[in-house]
Amino acid sequence: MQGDGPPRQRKGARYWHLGLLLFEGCARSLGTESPSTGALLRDCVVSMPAGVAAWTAPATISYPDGALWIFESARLGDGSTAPGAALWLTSADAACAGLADLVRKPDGSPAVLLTLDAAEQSANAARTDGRRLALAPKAGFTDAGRAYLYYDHVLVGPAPFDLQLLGTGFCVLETRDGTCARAVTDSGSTILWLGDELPVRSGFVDAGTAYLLACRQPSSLVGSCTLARVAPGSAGIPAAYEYFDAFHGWVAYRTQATQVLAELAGVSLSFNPFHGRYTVVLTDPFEGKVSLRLTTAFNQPFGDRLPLFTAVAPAADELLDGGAEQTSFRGEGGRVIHVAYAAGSSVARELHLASFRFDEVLQ
Amino acid sequence: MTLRHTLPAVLAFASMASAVRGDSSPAAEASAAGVTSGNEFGAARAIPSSRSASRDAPGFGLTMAPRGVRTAAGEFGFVAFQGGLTVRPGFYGFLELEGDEEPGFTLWPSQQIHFWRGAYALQVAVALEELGHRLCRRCALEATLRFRHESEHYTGANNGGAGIDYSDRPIFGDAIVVDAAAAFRSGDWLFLTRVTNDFFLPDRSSYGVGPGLDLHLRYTAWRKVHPFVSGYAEYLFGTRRGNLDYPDAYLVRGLLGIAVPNVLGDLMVFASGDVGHRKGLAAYTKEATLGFGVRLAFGPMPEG
Repeated sequence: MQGDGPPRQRKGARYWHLGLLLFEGCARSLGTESPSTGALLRDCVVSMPAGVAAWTAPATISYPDGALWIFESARLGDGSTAPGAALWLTSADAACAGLADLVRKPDGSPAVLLTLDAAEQSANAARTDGRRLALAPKAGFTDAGRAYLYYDHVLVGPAPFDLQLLGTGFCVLETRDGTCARAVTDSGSTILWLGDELPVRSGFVDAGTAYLLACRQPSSLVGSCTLARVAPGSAGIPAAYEYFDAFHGWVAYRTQATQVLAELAGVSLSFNPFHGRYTVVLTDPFEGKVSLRLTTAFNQPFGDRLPLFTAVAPAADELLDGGAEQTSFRGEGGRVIHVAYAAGSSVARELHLASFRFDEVLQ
Repeated sequence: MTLRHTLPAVLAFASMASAVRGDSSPAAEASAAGVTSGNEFGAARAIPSSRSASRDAPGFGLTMAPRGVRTAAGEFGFVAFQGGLTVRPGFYGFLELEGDEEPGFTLWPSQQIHFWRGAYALQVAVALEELGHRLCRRCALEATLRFRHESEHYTGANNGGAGIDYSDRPIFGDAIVVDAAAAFRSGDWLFLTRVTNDFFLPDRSSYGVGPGLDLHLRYTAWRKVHPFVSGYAEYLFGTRRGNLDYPDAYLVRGLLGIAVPNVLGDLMVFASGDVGHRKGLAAYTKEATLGFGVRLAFGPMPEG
């Protein structure tokens, strides 16, 4: 292709362009780095069992011998929906090898661990506003063979992403393939905590007491977590809960709870014996960065955020969710941890299981 | 500001005032003790580091592209003890403000200050005149030892708003820095070179050691304008500090421009180019840049 002018003019124009480039300056990114605390060993996609076409981020409950992932619902290959379906995982290797299967009834159909009662289903059927009540499992813990699950009551619709949090419910799962028995208040409601009074997002048992992180989003892009504790056997009784208050210790008044984390992230609280510390694993929904904060005791503040690894980065219009450490799968006494999270588009979520090994004990 | 921060500056100015008044100064006392006194207050080195392409060079500078960087730094000698060699104890102070805006030209980048770096050092420079002249008639040699501290900061909200979490960023911290410099004149050309190494103190920095190389070549035939080229390269080896293993960092930077010699040193106008890690709290970002700026570089150049 010929230039617009004689060669001398074109040469002059090049000098001008070079001069303008220097005058304006330019910077080309060559990437970013971060400090490390260990190495990402693997980040696998958990294969869907036969017959499952789509699923969403589950609530994960760690048993001593495996992990139970409970879904709000799973879409099956025949187009039907299995509400409250669950996946049983015996190890991280099995999950990554595609050996996980749905918890099934004796007849082979997916077990329904959490579902609306008949009255709620009737109310949904009678609605004409395009909305419906749904139960979204969020977090739980196990104690003495039982699983305890916290779930959100949400109104979904009419638009696909319309979501209204009505409150928090609680249920007890006697056996892994049974139905989670939903707790009911004296007034007959399955909503034990209204609105965002106690949106439990993580829980674990330490020395016979269940510790729970309840995380609210008081406004856009703001997260605020408080700590609660309860004896597992009394977990269905809201009055039995205590809340951590930095000034007075554990108190009975929920509104006195102190903010212990200001994180807009998936949270996963536990005790890690390798570090000898309580840890909270944080999964950033926007950038996919997974980090860790430590504390020696709950009356001490969590330390600085320590980077672990970067998960599969979400696309511009997507978010990661469901970030939760799978304490059942820990290796080397907690030196190797496994973090589950959901990525991909909202209609075809992929469930990931990332394995990470710490270099050293964290202080 | 704490006494720890102000003491070196107070010492420097006290020394200067003493020299101006002509009363008993450390240099005068040294002279009385049989040591020849040179510059009581002034040049920190026989071979100045202020012409370096390093971002830490002591001078007043303004980079207008690709991002605004304002530098106020100086290196001053308290006194010079002259014998077979010249010993210059001195002080180095450094403040750098950098924007984090999109790359582009800003004539007076006063608003976009985000990253801050501050450093100070106490140092001793030893000029080896005799050894230098033994190597060649127009050569100079110098070695410097300094204890240097650097910290990194950023501009937060004045109204108490939420801060940015930079807790995982590397800390430059404290280092013992040694360097050896040489100057050569050949005809109308002057060549300066400096080999340097930072020995970071354990648990006081995110780095272990940091070698660097500095080159400066200028054409001195014209009295009022000296075309020059400067090159600088450094490599900082990351180490474990606290719970974190910090990554290595490197920077290769070049300046091409003209220097206008004056009584203070040089006024340098240059185009710059670099490849490597940014500085301060932006240290995890690697990039390649082109830009330009000006600098008032302190200190006389070595005589031939």
